[in-house]
Amino acid sequence: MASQLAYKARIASTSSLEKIFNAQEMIASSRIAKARNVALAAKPYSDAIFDAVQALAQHTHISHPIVRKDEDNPRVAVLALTADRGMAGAYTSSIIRETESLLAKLDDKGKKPELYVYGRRGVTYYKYRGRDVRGTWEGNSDAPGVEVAEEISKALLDAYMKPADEGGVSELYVVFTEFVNMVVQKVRILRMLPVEIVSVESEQAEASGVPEAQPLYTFEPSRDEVLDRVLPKYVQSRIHECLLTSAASETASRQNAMHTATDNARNLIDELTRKLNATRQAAITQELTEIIGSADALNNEKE
Amino acid sequence: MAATDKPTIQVNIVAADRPVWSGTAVQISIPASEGSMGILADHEPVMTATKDGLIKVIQPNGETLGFEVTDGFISFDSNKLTVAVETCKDGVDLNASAE
Repeated sequence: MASQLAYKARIASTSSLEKIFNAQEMIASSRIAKARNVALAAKPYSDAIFDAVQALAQHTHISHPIVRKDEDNPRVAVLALTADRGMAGAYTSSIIRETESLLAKLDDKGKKPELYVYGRRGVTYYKYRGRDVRGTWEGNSDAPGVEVAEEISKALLDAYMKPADEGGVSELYVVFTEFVNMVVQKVRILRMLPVEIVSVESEQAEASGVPEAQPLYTFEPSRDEVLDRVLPKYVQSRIHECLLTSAASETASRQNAMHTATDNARNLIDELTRKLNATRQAAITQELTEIIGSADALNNEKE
Repeated sequence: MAATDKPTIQVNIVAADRPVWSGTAVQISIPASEGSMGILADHEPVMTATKDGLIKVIQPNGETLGFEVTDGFISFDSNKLTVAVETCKDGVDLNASAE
């Protein structure tokens, strides 16, 4: 049995750890509300862009390269969204696992995936393994601003718009974590480019029986220029959406992980305290036995 | 609200990170990419790219609001105007600043 001092030292260090975990948990839960507000605030903009793209799609047959790319190019881009900091349970590792399986799948199909990583944890992971990464971004993974989304979408759109012989890519996949609720976060793979435009017109027509009259927009300065302007913004806002839901998931899984860690630390402290008490009691018993034994021996001597 | 019989436009200004302003207006001027463009109620449906500049919103009570915006686009149909821009400063009362 270890000494009482050793137990006391372990209890002290475990309880200071417990305090840290508890603080981390509280920080995470206060950030979730913030992350949710940020995501809600960005929604009207992405809705406006989505509506505009829908209107454009209904009007015209879009043959913009963002929607369709007619070239035989095996290179594809994969963007993985990971966390900047650890202490978030399996958040980053499940993203990396999913990314690896996507890369393997693409390899099997004869494509040449190129990796882009956001988040310090993912960057360090791939750097350590010496993997070739085309582009990395770090910072603010728990509260990504528009600037980060702009930077990422610009780099990826540049890679996408480049012709194949200059190192361009033909598709873009994003691996991110969807925030379902506080307890459930799901890793999802999304094919971001080329953009798939689903027309809602047919559904509406079926529902009401009469096709709804769509406003006939005039485009200024020209349809193509408006498209040129709107489609990259659409991609950017989609990427921003992914970043935001990932950020909320990261905070939620950090909160969960820290909650479990706090519970574990408390259990450990309980167990250690019990052992400490047992050791102390054993020592007292031993001391008493010794005193009684020696007193007995003295009495025997007198007689 | 003095002129209720006048047709008004539902305006919704959104920036990439937040909704900025929404309300009604009788007239709006927009820094379209081909030069400034004014929109009154019952304008034909239009979708336009915009450049950096100032959006002026004249409200039914005569107050004029100004929003400094960076590039984006607007869409207008059935008296609903949506302005989607990259960034936008909060509206300033142009009447007040002119006095």
